[in-house]
Amino acid sequence: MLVRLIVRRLLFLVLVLFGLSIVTFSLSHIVPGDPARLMAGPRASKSAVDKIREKYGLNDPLPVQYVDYVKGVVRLDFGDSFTSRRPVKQDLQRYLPATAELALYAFLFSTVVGVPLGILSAVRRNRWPDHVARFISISGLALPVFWLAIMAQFVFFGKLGWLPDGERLPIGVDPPRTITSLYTIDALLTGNWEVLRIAVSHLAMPVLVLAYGSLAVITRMVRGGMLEVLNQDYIRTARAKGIIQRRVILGHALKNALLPTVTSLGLQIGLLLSGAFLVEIVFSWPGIGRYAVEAIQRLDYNATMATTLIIALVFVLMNLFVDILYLFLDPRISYA
Amino acid sequence: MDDRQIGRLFAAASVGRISRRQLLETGLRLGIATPVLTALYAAVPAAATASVASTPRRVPTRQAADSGTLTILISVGTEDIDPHYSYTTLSSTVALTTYEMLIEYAGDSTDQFQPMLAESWEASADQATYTFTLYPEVTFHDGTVCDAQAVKDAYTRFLLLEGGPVNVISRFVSDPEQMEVVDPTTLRFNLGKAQPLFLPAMASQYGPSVISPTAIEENKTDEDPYAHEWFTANAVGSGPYRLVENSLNERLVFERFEEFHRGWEGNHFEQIVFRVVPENATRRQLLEQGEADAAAYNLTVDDILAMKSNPVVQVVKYPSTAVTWAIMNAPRLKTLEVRQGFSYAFPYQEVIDGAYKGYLKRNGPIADSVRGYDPEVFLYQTDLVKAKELIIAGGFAEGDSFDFMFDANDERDSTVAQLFQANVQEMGFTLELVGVDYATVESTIFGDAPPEERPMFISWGWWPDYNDPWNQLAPNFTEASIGGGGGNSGAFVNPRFEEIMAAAEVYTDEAGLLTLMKEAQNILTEQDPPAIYYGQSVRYTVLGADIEGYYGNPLYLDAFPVYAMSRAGA
Repeated sequence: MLVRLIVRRLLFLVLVLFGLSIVTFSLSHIVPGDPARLMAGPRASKSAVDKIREKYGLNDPLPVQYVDYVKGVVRLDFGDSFTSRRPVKQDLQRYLPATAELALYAFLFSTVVGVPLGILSAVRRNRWPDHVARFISISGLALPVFWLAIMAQFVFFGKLGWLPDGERLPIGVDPPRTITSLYTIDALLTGNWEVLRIAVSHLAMPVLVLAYGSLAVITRMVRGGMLEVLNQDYIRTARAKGIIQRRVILGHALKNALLPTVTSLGLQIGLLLSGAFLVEIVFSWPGIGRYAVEAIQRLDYNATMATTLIIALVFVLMNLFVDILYLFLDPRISYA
Repeated sequence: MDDRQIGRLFAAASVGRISRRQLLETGLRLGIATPVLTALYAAVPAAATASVASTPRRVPTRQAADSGTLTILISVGTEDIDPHYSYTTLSSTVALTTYEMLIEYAGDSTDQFQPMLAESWEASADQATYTFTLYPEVTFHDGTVCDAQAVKDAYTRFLLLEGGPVNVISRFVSDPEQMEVVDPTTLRFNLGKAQPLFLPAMASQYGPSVISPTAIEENKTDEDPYAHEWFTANAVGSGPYRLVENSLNERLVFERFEEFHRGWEGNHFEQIVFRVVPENATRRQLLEQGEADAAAYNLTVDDILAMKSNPVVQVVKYPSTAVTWAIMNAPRLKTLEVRQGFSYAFPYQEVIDGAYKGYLKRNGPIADSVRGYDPEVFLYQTDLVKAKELIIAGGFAEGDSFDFMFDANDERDSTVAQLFQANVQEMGFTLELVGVDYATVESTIFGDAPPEERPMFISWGWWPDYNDPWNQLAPNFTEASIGGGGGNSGAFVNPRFEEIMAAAEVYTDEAGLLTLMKEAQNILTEQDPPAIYYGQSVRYTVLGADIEGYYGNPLYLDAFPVYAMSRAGA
């Protein structure tokens, strides 16, 4: 059953990517502007512009361009970026790890903090821990991540000077030897403690800002799930049997309360990746979000489409992972 | 800033203005930024007077991370730093850091020159031949010799590559053989006719950089005989700093070139870093925290006004040669009367006060710092009654709709668009605002689309490559500049103006040029306006209070004289 689920979802993934590629390709080409003219620059001769069109296949009819693009994507060749002039694949290898590191820690933080906070909020309902948790979750949902990022930077960098303004590492600090391309992990694996310390300090603010929205959602989901479960008969029965509170909550209630939360975790990946676009701009973070924004601004079709496809791929795969996890968490569920 | 200052910020923010215009402007600002953020950033106390002098105040509290590094903040990276091909301000700024021309404009002058590669130069009596004597024993960053032959080879590439700034040389030199290597330190340009503007052109920030012929040779390919692809991301010049890192979206890092022929006596920076920081608020904080040393014209005017009272930075303003305008689409606006009508409809004073906060000087198509400027140029005054009459007389009816394209990421442009819209609406017409990315504005203007497919108005501007009115006007208003890379996006054609431009291109007599330009400016304003001229921008650069040696040149906009700059006490 599991294999069938995976195969079916992977087939679905192909359809999703195919549909997305058509939408992204169409939208990219509807936007007014001429990337060849842009690359050539103001006052460049017509022949210079024509050369660029020829080089990047921009003279071909759109259906031909699309088919060529899809053929390339199948071979994991996303074409060349109009701005960096490198293969997009190379650019992704450069920028994706920065976003992955940001999103990974944001995801971990929001989960590790959000779940206990949600439990505490439900168990101490209408008391101060609940009020704190609700404040966090409401503000996390209400505050735009862009505004939060600027304010955090203003306070923690501008006013207090506790944290750096952004960037993965400051100028003059060499990254650790590449193993995973995640600086913190690589610094840890190579025992480069100074770089680890610097990398963590640079990560702290973007991670906290990015995680805040997800933390709010997770806290709310866990709280809601716990409140519902705690009122059910089997919990009352467990309590009547004299089982200690901690065991009732963690052993009986939490597992069932987490089911909707697990579903939302998959969606949080999408939230984190889209949030990263804005966070990376404010914190000058050299990730795929910033790369995508600049690609869109410079009519860089290939880079725009590649980043969209990559994000969709991650999103769909994470949701597949969540679905599989669901099977283990709740044996009643069947995807047959 | 301390807590008390923050309190003052909030208090200042609560002070409202109630005139219609000011109400609109305030609303615009609130719409652009988050209200609280705007309060924090736009409402900083601004009691102190502007610092316009280049002498800095020393403030020991500013925490410079590395006193030997000059960190300059830029808002976007540049994908092409090839000085012979790229025509962007940023790439020319980078070029002035790592390349040299033969000569450069001296200090803040627009008509005096000082040596770069050439220690002296001489024009023949008829101004048809120019002889440059180069400094001996100059080397490129790759260790090869920079002599007269190298300069000729580099300029041959500049000419044949046909990049954006090629007109800077091709106007004077059509064949590489016009460059004669007399001996290793002497290069002669045989121009064939009088060319009084050759020296100004050779000092342009766009193009005439000398790059290493060896690097060209080593990196060329069959498809790319001038190694343009390689030079988009790399640089090998003879300037004071050599490029050591170029990561498009992050930074460009230059280190001192120890063999630089002018030497390193005195106080200079060890390293120059152009750091890409996309967010305006972050750039401001970095400057105020001392984590960065400079930013040129990429902070909002509100930030600039606020920072003027902050002792840790200095705001240096200087006159520019840049004029901003809205291109009018002549075919779509039907008649001359309509273009004159919209020229009367534009809210000039409100734009100067509201969008530019005084950092704009009312003028026509040529800035007062450029040769040929007419101090009596005709300037339209806002008159909505007259404007409406002319627009209706020109073939439009009340209720008709017009469109205005502008760079939505530019705070000034956005404000201008909305102020103009308010006036157009007040006359009973509709102005549809089309806010797009800068890239779309640029590719629309320089693209090949017919006028019918272009907006009726596009917010734009221009400054000349060198001190020459023809170079300011021809790329924007001549018939030859319609489509195919030209800037005459409004498809403006005026036969008399064409005659004047043809004469101005080959002028030899300064007095005659002034007469021609006076007439040209009158055609482009009173008689047959192809654009609505907002004014001439006043440029500003923000520097750390401890930065010395900076000067702004009206022709080297947003550039930094990095070799002359230093940190006080370093």
